Amino acid sequence: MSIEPITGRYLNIEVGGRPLRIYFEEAGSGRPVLCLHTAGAHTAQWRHLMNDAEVTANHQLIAFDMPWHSKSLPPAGFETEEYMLTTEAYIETILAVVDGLGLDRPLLAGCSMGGRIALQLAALHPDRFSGFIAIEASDFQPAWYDIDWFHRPDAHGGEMGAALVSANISPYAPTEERWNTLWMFMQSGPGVFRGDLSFYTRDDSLIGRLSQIDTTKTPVHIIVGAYDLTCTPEDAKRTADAIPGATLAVMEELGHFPMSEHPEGFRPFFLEALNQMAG
Amino acid sequence: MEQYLSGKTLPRHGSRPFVRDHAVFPDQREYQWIPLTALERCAALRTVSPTYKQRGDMREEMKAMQARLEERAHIVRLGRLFSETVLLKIDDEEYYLVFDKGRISEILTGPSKKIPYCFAVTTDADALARFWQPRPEPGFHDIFGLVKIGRAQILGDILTLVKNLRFLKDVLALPREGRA
Repeated sequence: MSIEPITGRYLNIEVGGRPLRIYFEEAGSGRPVLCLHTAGAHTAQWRHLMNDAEVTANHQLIAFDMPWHSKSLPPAGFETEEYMLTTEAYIETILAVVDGLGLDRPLLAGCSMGGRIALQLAALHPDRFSGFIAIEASDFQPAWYDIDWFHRPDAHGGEMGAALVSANISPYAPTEERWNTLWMFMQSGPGVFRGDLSFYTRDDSLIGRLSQIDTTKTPVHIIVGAYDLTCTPEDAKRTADAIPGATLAVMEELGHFPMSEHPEGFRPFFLEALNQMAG
Repeated sequence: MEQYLSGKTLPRHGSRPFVRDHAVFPDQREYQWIPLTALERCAALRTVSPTYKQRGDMREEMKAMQARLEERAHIVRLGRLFSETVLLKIDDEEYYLVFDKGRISEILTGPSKKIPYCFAVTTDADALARFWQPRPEPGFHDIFGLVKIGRAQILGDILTLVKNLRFLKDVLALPREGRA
């Protein structure tokens, strides 16, 4: 029996003039690191790093569920709305969480769509952060699938989404963590994965902004797994090459959800990223 | 394909007939196959090829997949609503996996222009051998990976595939167990 050091609370913010109740977890003390989950999932993707004493010894890890995801309820009136994440709303939400938690220039670590928005913030709001760890992050990924597949009354969108993203998990991932990772997708609310994918596969506005990123002020480190079919090492390299001074690490035996699917394999790469951000 | 079809309507044989000499198409009309010409029949029956040994091996692989599925109750349960024919085309060999409520009830071998199927996965024996490794190389670790690296195609009713994706991925990965 044991109680983990992770604690969860709720933060009330406003985004687009509407009140939102955001669930967040934190662990550790020291330099704050705000962690962003992937599309169609939630904060539990960061569970291993938040329980890692070596990481939390001098870093305060904070992760939150995006609205509509897991314990962050959708806004009032959601029953008549179609969830479609946009770059603008995503940025506003993250900055509202930073303000609401009183974080002073945290590091920002995001995976997949979280990595994408981390690079958008590096271009548009670098003064709010002290560095960016962009995991499985690329400039743009058009969909090879139909995002509408994942929100239909005649199919289970969560199970379909999980089966689709299993293509991005490494065969080296321990079985238990592979399925824990997939479970989060199975849990996803109706239409939420689709709405996240709309942002991820249709908004290419980052491409033109990459060259604006000033890594002398806020370092950018991109990490990518070789088994990621969505954001391949080639995609990540193309993105890193377009950001003057960005660095890149390729993980030969990991996939698209490294912190969740293979915590032991990801750990050294994350520690390396934190060390790089130490300046 | 139309050259083999005539519009003659046949009596129905239930809602989902699977009879070797006719087929039901989405427009719900039944079509009778016009017999192949002698020349076409000869071409269809020409099976002697350099991959003959491999063909026998692959047929055994399909049978082993069918047998393993019988022993995996949790996978059969995932496919309990899946009764479709899936074409697995490996190089020039065709294997029609006839699923019935999550089990493979029959494996038909081609080449055939007459067997209706829901969707097809076309690939090559080398790609499949690499896909079936316990720890495949990147790109070879998933059917969509094979598609992405240009070693497979998925044709036909892809939505039905996606609706049953975990089931079908688990079935297609069964041969990995024999190599672990």
